[in-house]
Amino acid sequence: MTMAKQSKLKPFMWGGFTLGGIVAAFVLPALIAITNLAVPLGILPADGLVYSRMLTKFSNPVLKLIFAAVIVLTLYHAAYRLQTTFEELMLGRGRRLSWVLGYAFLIVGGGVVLYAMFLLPTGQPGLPIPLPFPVPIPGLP
Amino acid sequence: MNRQYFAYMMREFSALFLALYSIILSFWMVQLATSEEFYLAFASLISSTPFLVLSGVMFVFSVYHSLTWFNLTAKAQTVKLGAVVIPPSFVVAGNILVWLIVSGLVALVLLG
Repeated sequence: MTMAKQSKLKPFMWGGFTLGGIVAAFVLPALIAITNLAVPLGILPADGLVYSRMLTKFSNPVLKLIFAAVIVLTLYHAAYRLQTTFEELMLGRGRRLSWVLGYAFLIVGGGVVLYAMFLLPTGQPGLPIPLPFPVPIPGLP
Repeated sequence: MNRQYFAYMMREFSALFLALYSIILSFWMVQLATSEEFYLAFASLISSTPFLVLSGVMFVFSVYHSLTWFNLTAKAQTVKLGAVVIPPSFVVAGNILVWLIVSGLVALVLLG
């Protein structure tokens, strides 16, 4: 990328980074606390997260769009931050590598989120991503 | 490594855990879109002890990101109310108040 192109893109890149930082700061702690801690630990009731109710909720395109935006903006924020940090740690020598490391999350996560948004809310087997190891499923024979 | 540099590095690397959670969340959406069986399998995986430990770490880093972000924005931008400059500590307090309201909304959407 030439210097001129880079400097023209910089304000947009910085803007996306800031927006992602704001979204992550306001939304992510509550999301992690509810989905990954309070409900699995039984501190909060799991009623709202049961399959049928979640499917109904996510058939709403606005909610789907909000979640997609939260995921993509957070990933972009992280990619930008990690790229600059890696570059700093490598003292500017591994510029190309820092871009690969920093943006790997964005590419993987962005791909998954687009795939998820494309499938939702069908609820029908499309191209399921199986878990890499067997997990006991409570409530299923 | 001095303390200030360590705190700065932790702040920068909090992004790694934010990204990790975003990917987990997007996988969760995929499992939801796929079938009930896959959704329950993922819920079961999230409830496993190693995953709960990882979630605890992600939560700590996400809170750290929020607090450092609020401090940073209060320093980066001067907020004025007419001619009166609002002290940065007030801006941070305002951010925390909005944070609590947004967290309540997130809980309402997910658990309601």
